[in-house]
Amino acid sequence: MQDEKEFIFSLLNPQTQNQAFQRLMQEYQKPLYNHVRNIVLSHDDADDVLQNTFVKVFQNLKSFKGESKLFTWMYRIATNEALTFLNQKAKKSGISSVELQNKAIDNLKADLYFDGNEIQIKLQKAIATLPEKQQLVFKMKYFEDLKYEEISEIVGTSVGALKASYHHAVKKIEAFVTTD
Amino acid sequence: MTPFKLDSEPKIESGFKTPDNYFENFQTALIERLDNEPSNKETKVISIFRKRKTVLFAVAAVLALALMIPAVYQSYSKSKDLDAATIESYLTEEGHLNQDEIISEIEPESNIIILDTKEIETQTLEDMLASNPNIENLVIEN
Repeated sequence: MQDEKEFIFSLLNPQTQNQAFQRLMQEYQKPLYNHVRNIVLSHDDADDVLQNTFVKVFQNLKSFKGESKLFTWMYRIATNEALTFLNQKAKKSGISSVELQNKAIDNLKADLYFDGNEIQIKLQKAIATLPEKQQLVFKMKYFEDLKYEEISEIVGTSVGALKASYHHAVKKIEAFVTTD
Repeated sequence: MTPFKLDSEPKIESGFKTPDNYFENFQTALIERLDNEPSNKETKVISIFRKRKTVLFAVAAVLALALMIPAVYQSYSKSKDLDAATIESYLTEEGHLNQDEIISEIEPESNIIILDTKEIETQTLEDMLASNPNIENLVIEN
Protein backbone atom coordinates (compact mmCIF):
# COMPACT_ATOMS: atom_id res chain seq x y z
CA MET A 1 0.00 0.00 0.00
CA GLN A 2 1.12 3.55 -0.75
CA ASP A 3 2.61 5.64 2.00
CA GLU A 4 0.34 4.93 4.95
CA LYS A 5 0.08 8.51 6.17
CA GLU A 6 -0.94 9.65 2.71
CA PHE A 7 -3.49 6.86 2.52
CA ILE A 8 -4.97 7.71 5.92
CA PHE A 9 -5.23 11.33 4.78
CA SER A 10 -7.18 10.23 1.70
CA LEU A 11 -9.46 8.18 3.96
CA LEU A 12 -10.21 11.25 6.07
CA ASN A 13 -10.65 13.62 3.14
CA PRO A 14 -14.38 13.70 2.17
CA GLN A 15 -13.46 14.09 -1.51
CA THR A 16 -11.32 10.95 -1.66
CA GLN A 17 -12.87 9.01 1.21
CA ASN A 18 -15.14 6.65 -0.73
CA GLN A 19 -12.45 5.62 -3.19
CA ALA A 20 -9.90 5.17 -0.42
CA PHE A 21 -12.29 3.12 1.68
CA GLN A 22 -12.97 0.81 -1.25
CA ARG A 23 -9.23 0.29 -1.60
CA LEU A 24 -9.01 -0.43 2.10
CA MET A 25 -11.70 -3.09 1.77
CA GLN A 26 -10.03 -4.68 -1.24
CA GLU A 27 -6.76 -4.82 0.61
CA TYR A 28 -7.99 -6.13 3.95
CA GLN A 29 -11.29 -7.93 3.50
CA LYS A 30 -9.75 -11.34 2.74
CA PRO A 31 -7.13 -11.45 5.52
CA LEU A 32 -9.61 -9.99 8.00
CA TYR A 33 -12.29 -12.47 6.94
CA ASN A 34 -9.86 -15.36 7.51
CA HIS A 35 -8.87 -13.93 10.88
CA VAL A 36 -12.48 -13.55 12.00
CA ARG A 37 -13.58 -16.88 10.52
CA ASN A 38 -10.82 -18.68 12.42
CA ILE A 39 -12.25 -17.25 15.63
CA VAL A 40 -16.00 -17.62 15.05
CA LEU A 41 -15.86 -20.68 12.70
CA SER A 42 -19.23 -20.19 10.98
CA HIS A 43 -19.37 -18.25 7.70
CA ASP A 44 -22.55 -16.37 8.61
CA ASP A 45 -21.09 -15.22 11.90
CA ALA A 46 -17.84 -14.25 10.17
CA ASP A 47 -19.82 -12.19 7.67
CA ASP A 48 -21.62 -10.31 10.48
CA VAL A 49 -18.41 -9.69 12.38
CA LEU A 50 -16.51 -8.56 9.29
CA GLN A 51 -19.23 -6.04 8.46
CA ASN A 52 -19.22 -4.74 12.04
CA THR A 53 -15.45 -4.48 11.86
CA PHE A 54 -15.44 -2.35 8.72
CA VAL A 55 -18.26 -0.17 10.06
CA LYS A 56 -16.22 0.43 13.22
CA VAL A 57 -13.10 1.14 11.18
CA PHE A 58 -15.00 3.66 9.07
CA GLN A 59 -16.60 5.35 12.06
CA ASN A 60 -13.36 5.57 14.02
CA LEU A 61 -11.01 6.65 11.25
CA LYS A 62 -11.11 10.21 12.58
CA SER A 63 -9.83 9.06 15.96
CA PHE A 64 -7.07 6.90 14.45
CA LYS A 65 -3.92 8.73 15.47
CA GLY A 66 -1.47 6.66 13.46
CA GLU A 67 0.33 5.48 16.61
CA SER A 68 0.09 1.92 15.29
CA LYS A 69 -0.06 0.64 11.73
CA LEU A 70 -3.45 0.67 10.03
CA PHE A 71 -3.14 -3.09 9.60
CA THR A 72 -2.55 -3.65 13.33
CA TRP A 73 -5.36 -1.30 14.29
CA MET A 74 -7.83 -3.08 12.01
CA TYR A 75 -6.81 -6.54 13.21
CA ARG A 76 -7.28 -5.39 16.78
CA ILE A 77 -10.79 -4.14 16.01
CA ALA A 78 -11.62 -7.38 14.19
CA THR A 79 -10.34 -9.50 17.10
CA ASN A 80 -12.34 -7.53 19.65
CA GLU A 81 -15.45 -7.68 17.50
CA ALA A 82 -15.14 -11.44 17.03
CA LEU A 83 -14.57 -12.17 20.72
CA THR A 84 -17.39 -9.84 21.79
CA PHE A 85 -19.67 -11.49 19.24
CA LEU A 86 -18.92 -14.96 20.64
CA ASN A 87 -19.45 -13.86 24.24
CA GLN A 88 -22.78 -12.25 23.38
CA LYS A 89 -23.89 -15.28 21.40
CA ALA A 90 -23.02 -17.62 24.29
CA LYS A 91 -24.86 -15.35 26.72
CA LYS A 92 -27.96 -15.26 24.52
CA SER A 93 -27.91 -19.05 24.17
CA GLY A 94 -27.38 -19.48 27.92
CA ILE A 95 -24.24 -21.59 27.45
CA SER A 96 -20.52 -21.07 28.11
CA SER A 97 -18.07 -19.91 25.43
CA VAL A 98 -16.42 -23.36 25.46
CA GLU A 99 -19.78 -25.09 24.88
CA LEU A 100 -20.55 -22.64 22.08
CA GLN A 101 -17.21 -23.36 20.41
CA ASN A 102 -17.69 -27.15 20.65
CA LYS A 103 -21.15 -26.74 19.15
CA ALA A 104 -19.70 -24.68 16.29
CA ILE A 105 -17.10 -27.40 15.62
CA ASP A 106 -19.83 -30.07 15.55
CA ASN A 107 -21.73 -27.94 13.02
CA LEU A 108 -18.70 -27.68 10.73
CA LYS A 109 -19.41 -31.07 9.11
CA ALA A 110 -22.72 -29.75 7.86
CA ASP A 111 -21.34 -26.32 6.95
CA LEU A 112 -21.63 -25.58 3.23
CA TYR A 113 -18.59 -23.37 3.46
CA PHE A 114 -16.29 -25.83 5.18
CA ASP A 115 -14.28 -28.14 3.03
CA GLY A 116 -12.37 -30.04 5.66
CA ASN A 117 -11.63 -33.63 6.49
CA GLU A 118 -11.31 -35.53 9.77
CA ILE A 119 -7.85 -34.18 10.63
CA GLN A 120 -9.04 -30.61 10.18
CA ILE A 121 -11.99 -31.17 12.51
CA LYS A 122 -9.69 -32.92 14.99
CA LEU A 123 -7.34 -29.94 14.86
CA GLN A 124 -10.24 -27.56 15.59
CA LYS A 125 -11.25 -29.75 18.54
CA ALA A 126 -7.69 -29.67 19.83
CA ILE A 127 -7.54 -25.88 19.51
CA ALA A 128 -10.81 -25.61 21.46
CA THR A 129 -9.10 -27.15 24.49
CA LEU A 130 -6.61 -24.23 24.70
CA PRO A 131 -7.06 -21.05 26.73
CA GLU A 132 -8.51 -18.16 24.70
CA LYS A 133 -5.23 -16.30 24.24
CA GLN A 134 -3.30 -19.40 23.24
CA GLN A 135 -5.99 -20.20 20.69
CA LEU A 136 -5.67 -16.73 19.25
CA VAL A 137 -1.89 -16.88 19.02
CA PHE A 138 -1.94 -20.35 17.48
CA LYS A 139 -4.50 -19.42 14.83
CA MET A 140 -2.71 -16.21 13.88
CA LYS A 141 0.64 -17.97 13.59
CA TYR A 142 -0.38 -21.31 12.11
CA PHE A 143 -3.34 -20.51 9.84
CA GLU A 144 -2.73 -16.83 9.04
CA ASP A 145 1.07 -16.92 8.85
CA LEU A 146 1.45 -13.66 10.73
CA LYS A 147 4.87 -12.76 12.09
CA TYR A 148 5.41 -12.72 15.84
CA GLU A 149 6.10 -8.99 15.64
CA GLU A 150 2.73 -8.40 13.98
CA ILE A 151 0.89 -10.61 16.47
CA SER A 152 2.71 -8.82 19.27
CA GLU A 153 1.36 -5.45 18.08
CA ILE A 154 -2.17 -6.81 17.68
CA VAL A 155 -2.53 -8.59 21.01
CA GLY A 156 -0.17 -6.36 22.98
CA THR A 157 2.08 -9.17 24.24
CA SER A 158 5.85 -9.42 23.93
CA VAL A 159 7.34 -11.53 21.16
CA GLY A 160 9.04 -13.79 23.74
CA ALA A 161 5.75 -14.48 25.51
CA LEU A 162 4.06 -15.19 22.18
CA LYS A 163 6.73 -17.70 21.21
CA ALA A 164 6.29 -19.48 24.52
CA SER A 165 2.53 -19.39 24.14
CA TYR A 166 2.70 -20.85 20.63
CA HIS A 167 5.11 -23.55 21.75
CA HIS A 168 2.73 -24.61 24.58
CA ALA A 169 -0.20 -24.57 22.21
CA VAL A 170 1.56 -26.83 19.71
CA LYS A 171 2.52 -29.31 22.45
CA LYS A 172 -1.06 -29.49 23.75
CA ILE A 173 -2.49 -29.92 20.26
CA GLU A 174 -0.02 -32.69 19.40
CA ALA A 175 -0.85 -34.48 22.62
CA PHE A 176 -4.59 -34.13 21.99
CA VAL A 177 -4.38 -35.43 18.39
CA THR A 178 -2.09 -38.32 19.39
CA THR A 179 -4.37 -39.57 22.16
CA ASP A 180 -7.74 -38.79 20.54
CA MET B 1 1.03 -45.20 18.31
CA THR B 2 3.08 -42.66 16.30
CA PRO B 3 3.13 -39.33 18.07
CA PHE B 4 1.51 -36.56 16.01
CA LYS B 5 3.99 -33.79 15.15
CA LEU B 6 2.45 -30.63 13.77
CA ASP B 7 5.63 -29.34 12.15
CA SER B 8 6.56 -32.59 10.46
CA GLU B 9 3.10 -33.02 8.91
CA PRO B 10 2.08 -31.15 5.75
CA LYS B 11 0.40 -27.93 6.78
CA ILE B 12 -3.24 -28.46 7.72
CA GLU B 13 -5.41 -25.80 6.12
CA SER B 14 -8.37 -24.39 7.97
CA GLY B 15 -10.78 -25.72 5.33
CA PHE B 16 -12.91 -22.57 5.41
CA LYS B 17 -14.51 -21.43 2.16
CA THR B 18 -16.70 -18.53 1.16
CA PRO B 19 -19.73 -18.39 -1.17
CA ASP B 20 -19.00 -17.49 -4.81
CA ASN B 21 -18.40 -13.76 -5.36
CA TYR B 22 -18.65 -13.24 -1.61
CA PHE B 23 -16.01 -10.51 -1.45
CA GLU B 24 -17.43 -8.61 -4.45
CA ASN B 25 -20.91 -8.68 -2.89
CA PHE B 26 -19.50 -7.90 0.52
CA GLN B 27 -18.24 -4.52 -0.64
CA THR B 28 -21.62 -3.58 -2.10
CA ALA B 29 -23.48 -4.72 1.02
CA LEU B 30 -21.09 -2.87 3.28
CA ILE B 31 -21.30 0.42 1.36
CA GLU B 32 -25.10 0.14 1.47
CA ARG B 33 -24.98 -0.46 5.21
CA LEU B 34 -22.61 2.45 5.79
CA ASP B 35 -24.95 4.74 3.86
CA ASN B 36 -27.83 3.67 6.09
CA GLU B 37 -25.94 3.79 9.37
CA PRO B 38 -27.58 6.54 11.46
CA SER B 39 -24.23 7.73 12.75
CA ASN B 40 -22.97 8.33 9.21
CA LYS B 41 -25.92 10.43 8.12
CA GLU B 42 -25.72 14.11 8.77
CA THR B 43 -27.28 14.56 12.13
CA LYS B 44 -30.03 17.14 12.25
CA VAL B 45 -29.60 19.09 15.44
CA ILE B 46 -32.87 20.13 16.93
CA SER B 47 -32.48 22.65 19.68
CA ILE B 48 -34.58 21.74 22.67
CA PHE B 49 -34.88 25.42 23.46
CA ARG B 50 -36.04 26.29 19.93
CA LYS B 51 -38.53 23.44 19.76
CA ARG B 52 -40.15 24.43 23.04
CA LYS B 53 -39.72 28.15 22.69
CA THR B 54 -43.47 28.84 22.67
CA VAL B 55 -44.06 26.58 25.63
CA LEU B 56 -41.19 28.19 27.53
CA PHE B 57 -42.50 31.67 26.84
CA ALA B 58 -45.98 30.67 27.98
CA VAL B 59 -44.61 29.14 31.18
CA ALA B 60 -42.46 32.23 31.81
CA ALA B 61 -45.47 34.53 31.30
CA VAL B 62 -47.65 32.49 33.67
CA LEU B 63 -44.90 32.46 36.27
CA ALA B 64 -44.39 36.20 35.97
CA LEU B 65 -48.11 36.81 36.37
CA ALA B 66 -48.30 34.43 39.31
CA LEU B 67 -45.41 36.21 41.01
CA MET B 68 -47.02 39.58 40.41
CA ILE B 69 -50.38 38.66 42.03
CA PRO B 70 -49.36 39.26 45.68
CA ALA B 71 -47.62 42.54 44.82
CA VAL B 72 -50.58 43.87 42.82
CA TYR B 73 -53.08 42.76 45.44
CA GLN B 74 -51.08 44.39 48.22
CA SER B 75 -50.63 47.63 46.30
CA TYR B 76 -54.33 47.73 45.36
CA SER B 77 -55.60 47.15 48.87
CA LYS B 78 -53.04 49.61 50.26
CA SER B 79 -54.10 52.36 47.85
CA LYS B 80 -57.77 51.74 48.78
CA ASP B 81 -56.96 52.09 52.49
CA LEU B 82 -54.97 55.18 51.81
CA ASP B 83 -57.84 56.80 49.96
CA ALA B 84 -60.27 56.22 52.78
CA ALA B 85 -57.78 57.39 55.38
CA THR B 86 -56.83 60.44 53.37
CA ILE B 87 -60.44 61.48 52.89
CA GLU B 88 -61.20 60.90 56.52
CA SER B 89 -58.26 62.95 57.74
CA TYR B 90 -58.93 65.58 55.12
CA LEU B 91 -62.50 66.00 56.27
CA THR B 92 -61.44 66.08 59.90
CA GLU B 93 -58.54 68.46 59.48
CA GLU B 94 -59.95 70.63 56.74
CA GLY B 95 -63.46 70.84 58.30
CA HIS B 96 -63.29 74.61 58.31
CA LEU B 97 -63.94 74.77 54.57
CA ASN B 98 -66.92 76.88 53.84
CA GLN B 99 -69.68 76.08 51.41
CA ASP B 100 -68.15 78.12 48.58
CA GLU B 101 -64.84 76.26 48.84
CA ILE B 102 -66.56 72.85 48.74
CA ILE B 103 -68.63 73.86 45.69
CA SER B 104 -65.53 75.09 43.89
CA GLU B 105 -63.93 71.65 44.35
CA ILE B 106 -66.82 69.82 42.69
CA GLU B 107 -66.46 69.21 38.99
CA PRO B 108 -69.04 71.03 36.91
CA GLU B 109 -69.96 67.88 34.98
CA SER B 110 -70.62 65.81 38.08
CA ASN B 111 -74.20 64.81 38.78
CA ILE B 112 -74.37 66.57 42.06
CA ILE B 113 -77.14 69.15 42.21
CA ILE B 114 -76.25 72.00 44.37
CA LEU B 115 -78.92 74.18 45.66
CA ASP B 116 -77.86 77.69 45.98
CA THR B 117 -79.32 78.13 49.44
CA LYS B 118 -77.84 81.56 49.77
CA GLU B 119 -80.32 82.91 47.26
CA ILE B 120 -83.40 81.46 48.93
CA GLU B 121 -85.16 83.98 51.10
CA THR B 122 -86.73 82.96 54.37
CA GLN B 123 -90.17 83.92 53.15
CA THR B 124 -89.79 81.82 50.01
CA LEU B 125 -88.69 78.84 52.09
CA GLU B 126 -91.72 79.16 54.35
CA ASP B 127 -93.96 79.35 51.29
CA MET B 128 -92.39 76.20 49.81
CA LEU B 129 -92.90 74.28 53.06
CA ALA B 130 -96.46 75.50 53.41
CA SER B 131 -97.33 74.52 49.83
CA ASN B 132 -96.02 71.00 50.26
CA PRO B 133 -98.64 68.95 52.21
CA ASN B 134 -96.30 65.94 52.69
CA ILE B 135 -93.53 67.80 54.37
CA GLU B 136 -94.90 67.03 57.81
CA ASN B 137 -94.89 63.30 57.18
CA LEU B 138 -91.33 63.45 55.84
CA VAL B 139 -90.12 65.28 58.89
CA ILE B 140 -91.80 62.75 61.25
CA GLU B 141 -90.33 59.75 59.28
CA ASN B 142 -86.79 61.17 59.40
